[in-house]
Amino acid sequence: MSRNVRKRGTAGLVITGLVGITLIAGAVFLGPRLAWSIASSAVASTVLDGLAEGPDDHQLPVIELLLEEAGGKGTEAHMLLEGTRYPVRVTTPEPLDEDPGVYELDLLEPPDMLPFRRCRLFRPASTDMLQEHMALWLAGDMGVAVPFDALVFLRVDGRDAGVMQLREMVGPELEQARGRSPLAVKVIDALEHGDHVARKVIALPQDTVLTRYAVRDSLERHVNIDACVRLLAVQRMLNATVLENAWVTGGADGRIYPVLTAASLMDGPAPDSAATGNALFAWIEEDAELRARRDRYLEEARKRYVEQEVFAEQWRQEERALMPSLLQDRSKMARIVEGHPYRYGYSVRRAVRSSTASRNTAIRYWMDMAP
Amino acid sequence: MKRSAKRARIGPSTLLVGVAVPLGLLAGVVVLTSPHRLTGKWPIGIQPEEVRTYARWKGLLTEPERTRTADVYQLNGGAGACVLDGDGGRWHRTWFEADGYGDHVQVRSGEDGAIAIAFGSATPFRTQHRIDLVPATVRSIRAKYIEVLATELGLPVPEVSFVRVIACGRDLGIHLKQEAIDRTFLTKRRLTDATLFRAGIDASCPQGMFPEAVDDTLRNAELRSTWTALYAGLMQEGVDEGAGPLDREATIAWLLMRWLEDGDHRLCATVPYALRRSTGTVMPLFERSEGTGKGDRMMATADPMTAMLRDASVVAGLKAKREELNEVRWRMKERFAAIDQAWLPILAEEGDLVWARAIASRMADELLDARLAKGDPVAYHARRWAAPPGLATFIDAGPLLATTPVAVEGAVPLERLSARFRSARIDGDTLFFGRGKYEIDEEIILPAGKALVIEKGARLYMGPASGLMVQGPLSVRGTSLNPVFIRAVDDARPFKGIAVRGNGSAPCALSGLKMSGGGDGAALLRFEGASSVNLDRCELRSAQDGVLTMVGGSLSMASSELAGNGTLLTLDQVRATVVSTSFIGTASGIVLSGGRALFDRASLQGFNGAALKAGQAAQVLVLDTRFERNATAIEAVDLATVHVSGVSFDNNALVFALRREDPIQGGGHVVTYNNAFVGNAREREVDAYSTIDQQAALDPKLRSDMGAEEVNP
Repeated sequence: MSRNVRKRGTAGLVITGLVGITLIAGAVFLGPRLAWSIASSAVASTVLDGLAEGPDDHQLPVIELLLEEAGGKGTEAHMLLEGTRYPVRVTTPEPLDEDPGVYELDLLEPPDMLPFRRCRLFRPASTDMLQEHMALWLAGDMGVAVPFDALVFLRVDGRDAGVMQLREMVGPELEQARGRSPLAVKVIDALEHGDHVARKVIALPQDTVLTRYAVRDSLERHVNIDACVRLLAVQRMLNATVLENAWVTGGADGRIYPVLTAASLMDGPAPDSAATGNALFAWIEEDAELRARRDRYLEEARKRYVEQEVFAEQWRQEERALMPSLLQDRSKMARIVEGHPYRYGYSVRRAVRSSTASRNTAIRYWMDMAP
Repeated sequence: MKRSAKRARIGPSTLLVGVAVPLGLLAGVVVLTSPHRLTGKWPIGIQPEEVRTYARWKGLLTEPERTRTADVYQLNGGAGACVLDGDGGRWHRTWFEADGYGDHVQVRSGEDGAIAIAFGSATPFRTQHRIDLVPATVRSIRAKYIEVLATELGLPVPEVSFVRVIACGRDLGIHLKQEAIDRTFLTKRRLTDATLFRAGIDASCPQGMFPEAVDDTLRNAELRSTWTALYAGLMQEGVDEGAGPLDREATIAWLLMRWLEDGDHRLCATVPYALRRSTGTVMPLFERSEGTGKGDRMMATADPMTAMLRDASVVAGLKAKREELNEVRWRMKERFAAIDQAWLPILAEEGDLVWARAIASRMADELLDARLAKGDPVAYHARRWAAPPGLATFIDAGPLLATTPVAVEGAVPLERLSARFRSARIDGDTLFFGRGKYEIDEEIILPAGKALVIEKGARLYMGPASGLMVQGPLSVRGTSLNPVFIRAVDDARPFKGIAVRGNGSAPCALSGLKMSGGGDGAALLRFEGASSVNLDRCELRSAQDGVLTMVGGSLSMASSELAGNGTLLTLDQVRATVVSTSFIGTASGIVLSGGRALFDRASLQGFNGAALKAGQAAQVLVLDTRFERNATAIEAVDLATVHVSGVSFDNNALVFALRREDPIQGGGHVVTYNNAFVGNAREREVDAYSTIDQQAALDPKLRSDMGAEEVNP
């Protein structure tokens, strides 16, 4: 046996030994199950990445930020989307040279062809990348007003920044961007920060002097009750404990309606009537007719998503569109904790596995809801 | 036998054979293989680019010299920087030159070499006000195929061709030239009564949820209302989808083209539509997508056409239409071949013609054989429809349904009007002006949806600049013996008039009305959004700006007299029947824009302008009418057709004036039958775009189509 062969054999033994020691040490400190999971994820990630040479073209929209001349927060730059260049003002929470992970874009010359005037680019909040996006899709499909939300592949100055979530920032242009009204609308960020009129309207149900029908008539003049009922149906459908929403004063009639600004799937349990923490929602939940309407929306949605398999099909299509970009995403970062700078690396295997699990959990939950 | 250890020497002949044999074999394969197979998959790892290189070598040797060249468009930036090197997205003025044309134009450069050129409104380029240019490759020939298929299906589709672009002295190569979908596009296709708008179709995209008019933004409220009603219907299951305003035939053709094209649609794509004001129908216009047939990127579509497929009769219609097109596939193939013959020599680089033909042939087969003959359009469109996100909330977020058109502010409640005028009364939603005297010194606006009835014997005295606006039905019930009078308080100071502004369903009937002294700033009577207007035995005299103006709907006028200043009768997209009515005026008599009109036993006298002017492809039949002492008796412009039978023309300065006014349209057309011409100074003035035909007898079918009474033989 030649000297070279002997050398290679020794190196192999050393590497195998090191891997073994790492596994044993990991098993001691983390427990065998977690150690095995991490090791298998690492191997699968490496192998899958190796197999992923030359993945398909992106099916997600590709956005390129041209920040080369940018000097920091609130700087003017350009965004390239589908071959068109848009001037934008970019705001980031951290200096640009430290991969801020979040970009807020304000389009300086709002174009007709884009679904937003201001948007936020951030790393998806879950390992499967799809949970939040699909939660908003479901809410929009059930008729609740939602911001534009899409997964995109981001490049910054020619370098891949990976799969990001693009979400419209709900603002006064909401109805203009949708072609519904030429007027800017008033947006109230949340109830506790709402203005006096909104709080007065929302507090109206607590006035016990009025009869229930009088209250409803009064409310209907100020609030789009049906939109609220739909939002409550969505909350149950998503099995979400908390929904983040804004209140918008409609441009056409001045009535208030909710816009769901963020949601996630199956992080429940959804609160019961008494625990909504919102006088208006609690009042709606107590009204037998409105409750029946909410349940009708729920049943319609359940049929559509489970029996007609619309949800699974939509998820699969989103997943198919996501995979080529995920395989090309060398940064492999996801943001697990909302608003927290901590970032978490993930593997493609983990993303695929948790994607399937999330989808199936939701569908099983809805099947159990069947009357 | 022992093998020699000495290596054989490789000589030049061995090397030559080693290179020549594979090359010869490959050349033979390329020569003998059909062009169609050239672009297919090759075994043992042969790459398409390698085959293309061999094909090009062969082409360089065997290709005949090309005789056809592309049109050349030259853009000159002048002395300064080149116009295309500036800021993308901004319009720049520059000089444009093509065969037979040269003028200053507006140019905008986009990404990927795209160029948009806008021409002046008075100087369109080959009847187009705007064109878009994008760099072309051989694969761009598919755009031409798509145009042919859409045209065969009767869909309005932008024209496509290929031109060479030279900008600032640089040859930018062959570009695909596409006509823009704009107002001019509609006019050229005789859709002069249509409002052009765009709406989104991407179900994941909330933008474009409601339509936006392309240039007539005043129609946005009406469009949104139509759209809201349409989607509200589509979102309910079990409704009759066929009952909506969508043009059924155009919808089926659009769905078929969408399937055939299988385009790659961009984020938040929109579709252009034409709302026909004369019929109230919405017609989808087919616009080629940006992609090259790679498939639909959208997860689902929100267009109303796909939702119509829940209606079984639309599905049946789609299948039938596909069969119909499939039956004439041979003709399409011939047309595709003609297109290849004409354009591929321009699109292919030198030596690349064989390869180009192969690619084109593959694309044609994919369209006509793989899709049209064997594909399934119903399966393609199946379960892909979804309402745009949040639509239910936005539909329910305002009174859009009640705003067709936008109600005018400042309406006075009927009760207040009833209390103000002693002889007025209210019955239900209707205000009655009974017999009596009414003094009106301001502009009164009736609430939307309320009707006004003016009964016989009513006398309205109108103060200067006063008027009545009715946002609902109007009825004037005078008789010959007991008419309704509407007069100015002071003849020297005219009032405005009566305006009816409806939602397209308000009927109006006026009889025995004698009205004079009005017309301040607009016609005496104005109807917009009325379904029908009937005038019988009315005498209307304008002091200033015309007698009657009407937009849309139908007009029936009999035994009346219109006189005074301004244009006496202005009809825009109206179906009109005017019988036994006289027009006596000073400026001009009748102006028709689009629509169709019958004038029977009328008389038009003493106009300093045209007694009858028809434009915008209006169809007119004039029977047994008298034109006397007019500067011009009949003017036909811009594709209008006027049939003239049994008419006498006496002492007019000019009888027929035919010309093209709008440069993107054709001229006028007059067909004459048995007419009498006495004492006219000149009989005709006809430009190169217009024609006058003489025929022996009027076709009875034309008479009945235009609503004329039957004539006993």
